[in-house]
Amino acid sequence: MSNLLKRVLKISILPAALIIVAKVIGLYIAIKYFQLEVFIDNNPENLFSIQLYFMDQTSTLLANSLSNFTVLIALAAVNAYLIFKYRLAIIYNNNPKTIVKLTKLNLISWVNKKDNDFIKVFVWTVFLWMVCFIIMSDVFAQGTYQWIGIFAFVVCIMSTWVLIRTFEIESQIIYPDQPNKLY
Amino acid sequence: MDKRDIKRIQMKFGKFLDPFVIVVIIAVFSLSALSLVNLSPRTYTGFQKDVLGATTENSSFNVTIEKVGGKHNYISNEILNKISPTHYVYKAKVGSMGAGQYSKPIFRISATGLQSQNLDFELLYSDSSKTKISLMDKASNISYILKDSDGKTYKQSTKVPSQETEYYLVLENTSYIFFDQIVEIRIFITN
Repeated sequence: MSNLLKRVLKISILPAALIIVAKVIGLYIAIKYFQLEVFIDNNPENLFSIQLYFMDQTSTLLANSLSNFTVLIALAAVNAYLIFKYRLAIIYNNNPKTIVKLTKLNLISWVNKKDNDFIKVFVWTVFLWMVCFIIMSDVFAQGTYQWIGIFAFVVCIMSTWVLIRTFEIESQIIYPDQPNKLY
Repeated sequence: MDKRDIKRIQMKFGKFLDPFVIVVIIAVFSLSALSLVNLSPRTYTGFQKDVLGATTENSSFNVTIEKVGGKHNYISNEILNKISPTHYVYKAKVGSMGAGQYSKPIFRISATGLQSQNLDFELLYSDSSKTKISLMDKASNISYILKDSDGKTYKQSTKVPSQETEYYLVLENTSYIFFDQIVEIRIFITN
């Protein structure tokens, strides 16, 4: 079996679970904090028969926006953490000053872990894209506040840009003698 | 078969598992996306929608529902929330009780003029799966079963009564219920 596929499968379980957990937490916060009236109904026509309902449009919009924003922030935060760690590991390998600084802060083992690879960053970014697209489509369907859609769009663009930059660094590691080669 | 043989078989046939792994990866992506979409709450429109999906407003609406109130040994903490002119939610606490039938008038419906609207009842929530829950129209002496003793729920519909009438909450147990439970009923007035 392909090691790459096994690794992708292993990595993709955590972001998939985080999306669901963050959505549930976001909904819980919205319902508890704003004291919204919610109930669960059974609709066999849908793919998943269980559906959450609110009594009015304003409550639905508020709860949906808050929960979508929670998912976006959770994924973006983990993504930023992974990219920061990955970039730090690359700099660490090339810059003696960084090695000294990290040694002083006792962070060498944290940066130099084996799981610090490009494929992890890539999988998390793909999940972030997916969430951004769902949120943006929800904004077009008037199910989420517009500013969250704009925020998701900015996060999507930024994550794409950072992923391209990270890929460039990765390609430089693979082909150090050919700096203009981009694969 | 030793470890080396197993490894050899894995190397030989393992590659055929790759398409299945790809399917699993796609499933993980799709399921998380579908869960995110499905967990997004919706606004309940229930019975208020007509065939074309447009909400029908009745400007000369003349059906009112009021809580009866009063004391009862087992049914207490009654609340009747008016969500909209066509939508009410009744909620009550039912204390622990022995086997038998218990009833209490819970709401009063009055309507003026000729009525063409329907009354729809639906059990929103009930803890106990063994209690049979029904509503009884006192004027016509008709019972509407909302939940049977097997836990199966029913949506019930009837015409808005032309005269004022009281509806009774009827609870039937075949055995002792040791805990308190909450009963919630949705009432819709539809055209």
